[in-house]
Amino acid sequence: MSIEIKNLQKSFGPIKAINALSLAIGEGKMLVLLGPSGCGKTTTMRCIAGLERPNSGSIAISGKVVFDDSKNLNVPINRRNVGMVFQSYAIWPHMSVFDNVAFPLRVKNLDQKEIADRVGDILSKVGLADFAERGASYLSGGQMQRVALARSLVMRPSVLLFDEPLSNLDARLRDRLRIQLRELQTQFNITSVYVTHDQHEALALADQIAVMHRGELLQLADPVTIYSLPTSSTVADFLGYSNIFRVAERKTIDGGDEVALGDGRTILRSSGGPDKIMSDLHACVRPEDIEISSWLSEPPTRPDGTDNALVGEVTLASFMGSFMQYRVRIEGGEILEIFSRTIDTSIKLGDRVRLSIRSDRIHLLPQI
Amino acid sequence: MHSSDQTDLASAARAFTALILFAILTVLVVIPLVMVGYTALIDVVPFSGEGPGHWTLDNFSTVLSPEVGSATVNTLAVSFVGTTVAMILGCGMAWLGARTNVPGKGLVHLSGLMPLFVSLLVAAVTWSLLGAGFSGYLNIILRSLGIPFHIEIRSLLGIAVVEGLYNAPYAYLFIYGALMLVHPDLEEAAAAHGGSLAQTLRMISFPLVRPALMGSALLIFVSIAEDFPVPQILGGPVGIETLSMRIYNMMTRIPAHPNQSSALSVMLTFAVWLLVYAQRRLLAGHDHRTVTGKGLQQRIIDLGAWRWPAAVFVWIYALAAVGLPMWALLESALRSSLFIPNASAFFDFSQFSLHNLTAAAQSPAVQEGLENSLIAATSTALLGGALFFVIAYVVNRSRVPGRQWLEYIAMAPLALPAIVLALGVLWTWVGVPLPVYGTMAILIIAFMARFMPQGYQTIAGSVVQIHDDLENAAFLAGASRWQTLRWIILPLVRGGVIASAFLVFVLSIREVAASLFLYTTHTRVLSIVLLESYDSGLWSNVASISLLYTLLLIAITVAGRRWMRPVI
Repeated sequence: MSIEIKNLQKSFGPIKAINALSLAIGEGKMLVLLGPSGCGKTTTMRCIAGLERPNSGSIAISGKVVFDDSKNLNVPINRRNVGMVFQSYAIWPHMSVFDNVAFPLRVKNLDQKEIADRVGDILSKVGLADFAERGASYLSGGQMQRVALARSLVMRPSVLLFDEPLSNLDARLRDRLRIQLRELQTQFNITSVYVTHDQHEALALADQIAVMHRGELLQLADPVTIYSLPTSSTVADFLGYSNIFRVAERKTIDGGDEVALGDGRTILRSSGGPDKIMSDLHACVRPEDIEISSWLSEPPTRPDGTDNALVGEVTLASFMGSFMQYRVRIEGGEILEIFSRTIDTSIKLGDRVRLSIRSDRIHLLPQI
Repeated sequence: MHSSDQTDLASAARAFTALILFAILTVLVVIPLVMVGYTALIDVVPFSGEGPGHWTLDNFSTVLSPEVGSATVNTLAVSFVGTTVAMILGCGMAWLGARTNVPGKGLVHLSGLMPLFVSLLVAAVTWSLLGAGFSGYLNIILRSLGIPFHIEIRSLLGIAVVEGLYNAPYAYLFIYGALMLVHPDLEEAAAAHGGSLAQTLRMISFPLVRPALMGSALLIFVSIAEDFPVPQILGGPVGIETLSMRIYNMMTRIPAHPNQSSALSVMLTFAVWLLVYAQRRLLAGHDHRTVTGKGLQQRIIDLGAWRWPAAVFVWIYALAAVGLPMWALLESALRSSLFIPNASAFFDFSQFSLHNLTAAAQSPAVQEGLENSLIAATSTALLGGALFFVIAYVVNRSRVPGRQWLEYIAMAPLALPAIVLALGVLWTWVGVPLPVYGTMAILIIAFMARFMPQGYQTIAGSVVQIHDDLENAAFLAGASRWQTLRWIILPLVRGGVIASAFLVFVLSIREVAASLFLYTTHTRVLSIVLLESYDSGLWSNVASISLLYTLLLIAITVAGRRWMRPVI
């Protein structure tokens, strides 16, 4: 294992930023820490870098312990050989691109020739070979981000950390750089930790995603698993399950559960929730798992009869390019969000519509 | 356990740094303060050989004489009126400069730079030339024009107006800065929602900069209340006394009352502390920062027909603050005869010669004063620049224990009247068997303490601007703290350090009150030479020295303009 965190604790005054966190990241893998602001993801990364000193626990990088409070061991930041791409890029404005990238090698007192070779090599890999002599304050956001990446890669770090490196860029550039970043990371085979609050970024980049909430790790899994099988409604919420409703009553029936939402007027069939009896169960549905059709059309039915059929009124219909976004208030009072790939322009605001949800797409999950 | 040794080493180094800095600041600031308090509480003069003496509160009761009563009333009156004048001028100029198309904006901006090259001492001298008694130049002109009006600048009102004129730039700098930071959308929104210009000003613009208004008013009030040269020059000859003059007179007039002088210093300092505390409270947490960091394109209001009255306001201010005084200095320094029968004699060029000016420039006193001023200012700038940088770096960028206290101490002289500081430095060093008292060293020590807040803040401003990440990135790249300091921090704050050293240099050259009690026959600085020349009453000499002094300050300002930052 390339990074191993055990039982990490970090408090700022009375606030617990990280609570008993244990994580392991395999060699050459990218772990994405995902969660809302204040969930402890950035603090975790800063503890790995050595920018924060945890209260207790231990951190090992490539088998070497860099922090262990029981042994009063805390390797200084500059001895950890950890690369980091900051949200602000942290490009030194008084230096050229070359000087920025050469800095980690110069502080190691390498000879000029080797520095020039390694910097030149890395700059061409990130596509900045022509910019070496340019002053760092004359770069665009995307170029700065690549300089920051080159500066981290050139030191051949044991671990590379990314602190929301794409969040200051516009959407199109963000998509392009995300792909480039993933390519470089796999090409260099560098163990990486990537912090973000953007679920799309997390799914696209990660080998493993760790969802954090209030200083605790809620779920750690690969992107496909975590997206299709979240273990709690909090994780589901973060991964874009925009329809989450509190279950008022649960009845076990043949082939699953039947749950009543809110005031009990809406009943949904699910192909199954947890075996345990739980008081804070939520029904979670992704917006693309709900089918919408005009009231006038035939009600869609599945041969096995496991569909949930609902009726409601459209309160929002919004064209999003590749799909339609709807909000529908169903008869029980709940408002559902629906993404539909079929662009049906006949469904308009105020129309009565039929909704259908497969019972295996209704996840019954505890809150945490 | 190699690494944990390093951690211990790092924390030992931190503790050591903290200890050294606290020691330096204690010697510079804390001990002088303590010594003033100590002298106020004993019945003998410290280090005078009169024995240890006894603790007493008598100094506080005996100092409350009718003289101190009238000095307090005078100080309050001058400060209130002076602050009012300064705020009206400063606010007006700031708004005209930031928001309008007033003709002659260069003159408006000039007033923001003025405090750098106009010394209050010279200002008082020149206004004395212009408006003192029947021989005051303005009174000669008024008489010649047959206008039955007479200016008397040697009065409480005169002192207040001169203070107001020369403190207005501080209000201007604060309020202009604040107005430039207000996002133009906020005012445009007010206009779009139907607000007239006057309503927008009253309900949006000025409330947004209210912290700057209140803050600058308090700052000006304090600086007038503790000022020494202006009341000394204008009030001294006619028997008007303020509190700082009273402290000075009790020290220098025979019979001297050093202990009572210290007791009065304690009381004045306490009053100033309360005001400065109030000012800090007003400014802190009321940062209406609606800024993007980019220069905001401010909306320029077309004044229309009001452009010309506004321009006249600016011209009158520039004339009163700079034009007339410079003219008076030239007249007085270049005329060979002091007798001016009527206004037309001002333009009798046959009377002009460079004789007085060259005589003054060649006099040993002036040359020695110039040399001492340059030595003191250069040393203060270099030593101060280095010290203030270290403090700023440690306070803002390290985990040194007690670093907040370093900042409090560094900012404390802001609330310490210069004359009280001089007194404290005197009591601190007069008994120390080192070559400090009686040498230039004691002046440098006093100046470093005096300008620590300004010097520290200028550097801290640029240290704070460096994003944490820039330093952290260097650590992560494997750099040690020294390498990071050397290659990242220092290059990035170089501008701030130079600006700070330059500011301290100029302020040291201008300083009067902090040198009182501390100079000896051979360590007079230029301002003291001027003050003594004024006391001896030789006007052509006074004017010549003032002119040379002003030319020096202008030369320094012009030479250093690229490093100039607002003097607050």
